[in-house]
Amino acid sequence: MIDGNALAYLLQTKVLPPSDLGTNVQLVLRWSHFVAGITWIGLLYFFNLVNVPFMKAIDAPTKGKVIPALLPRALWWFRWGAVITVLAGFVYWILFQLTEPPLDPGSKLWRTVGLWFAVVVLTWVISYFLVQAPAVAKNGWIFAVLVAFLVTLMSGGIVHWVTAYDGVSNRVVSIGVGGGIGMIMLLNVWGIIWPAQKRIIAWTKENAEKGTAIPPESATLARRAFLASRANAWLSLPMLFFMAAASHYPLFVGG
Amino acid sequence: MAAVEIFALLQIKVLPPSDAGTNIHLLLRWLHIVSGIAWIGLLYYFNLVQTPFLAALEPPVRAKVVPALLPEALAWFRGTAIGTVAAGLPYWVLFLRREPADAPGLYLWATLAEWTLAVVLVWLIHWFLLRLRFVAERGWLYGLTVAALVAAFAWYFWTHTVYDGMTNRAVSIGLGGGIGLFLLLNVLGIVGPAQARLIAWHQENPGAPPPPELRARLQQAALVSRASFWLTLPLLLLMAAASHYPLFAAN
Repeated sequence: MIDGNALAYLLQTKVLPPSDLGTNVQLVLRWSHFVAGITWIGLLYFFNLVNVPFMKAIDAPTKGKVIPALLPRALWWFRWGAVITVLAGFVYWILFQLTEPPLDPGSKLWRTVGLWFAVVVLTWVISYFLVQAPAVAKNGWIFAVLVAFLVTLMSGGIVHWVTAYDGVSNRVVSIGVGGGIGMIMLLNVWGIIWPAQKRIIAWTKENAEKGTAIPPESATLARRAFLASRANAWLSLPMLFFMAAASHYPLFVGG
Repeated sequence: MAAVEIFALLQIKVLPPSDAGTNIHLLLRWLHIVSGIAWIGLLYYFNLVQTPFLAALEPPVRAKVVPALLPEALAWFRGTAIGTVAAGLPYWVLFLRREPADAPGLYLWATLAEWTLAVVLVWLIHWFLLRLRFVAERGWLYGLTVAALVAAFAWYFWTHTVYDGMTNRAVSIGLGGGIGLFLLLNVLGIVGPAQARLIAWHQENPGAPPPPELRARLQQAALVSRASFWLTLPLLLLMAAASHYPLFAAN
């Protein structure tokens, strides 16, 4: 048997949590980003892989009971998970930017963050108007090609302009691109998916309870929410690639 | 800007590493992350969304919903659980092969064997205890049992399997991955089979409520699912600590 002193000695020598604040704050942010991100993107995968075929498989009266009971719960975790994921990740990214470039740490922070927001929001606004256009909304492939083109352009802008300063780390560039895609996805959640679903849930509920007709606008909104959701599911793949590459895959070489 | 200049710019900034090791690592990491998000995301969905959702439905509606919703969810849940562990395990092995610095790969097989045996043994004990009605009917007791067994695994791994010169990364993934393997066994051994029986029941007996024997099985699966849900928190903390938080110093 191991006596208490030996046990304490063993634990003292082997499990040594770093005591500096920075490392601990980063771990908490990383962990919150993981847990919230899994909730968000996991539910996104649920919507795309499970819920879409499920909704097709049930009849209209069942749907009237299912939508008001299932979607509000799922969308609550979905949209708040999205907010926490992006907040934790954004602060994490800032913490790295404060340590570089080596010669003048933190000097590029405001330029980088400002340009990043401008480029990402502009990209999203263009895609937002595109999805309103009936010709684009009708054909999912056109929307897919346009979004892929816009996001590629945005990523190029982030790599070659927004984060292109001497001494930038692979990590800051990679999170810049992956986080940029993540921010587009967050804007899709709060700007397209949730506003549309909120109204669809209310209409479906009223229809099931009081028999009021569901307005035809509902189909347009559902189509838009579907396209944004499907785009998010595909965008999560390059987004996660750049997140996975940030610390472990030196893809970007500082200019 | 001339096309030549843009090309030169691209050449300067984007240089993917060309060695196989780094690329395989990235691929495994990416597959582990995508698959893991789908798996644990569905686990969170089951616990946070589907359980209260099904409870809120009237029995006739539920009888229609279960055969339409659960098979698809369960198939992805099982498939991505296997995918996550199948990508994470070789990722860990690639690190173990480099350690310790003076004899790379010396403890690889011993580590893998002890790790697997310890997790499987702990899981089997937990499986037998779950069969006891005394435990299964008391959620708090089952929770304590799981916590004690996972702690026992961690203690055994820490005191017997960890070798001199084992990196923080390998220790952290060993402990987090051990919890992950425990969760995979829960999916394949308890939660999956119970849900499959519920689906089959609703398909064969449309509209009829499940019999008491199946209800008891489902109640056990619900406990296991809830335990898995909570276990993801230390699991993800250890995964998050692996590369970036030097917690373990194995002299």
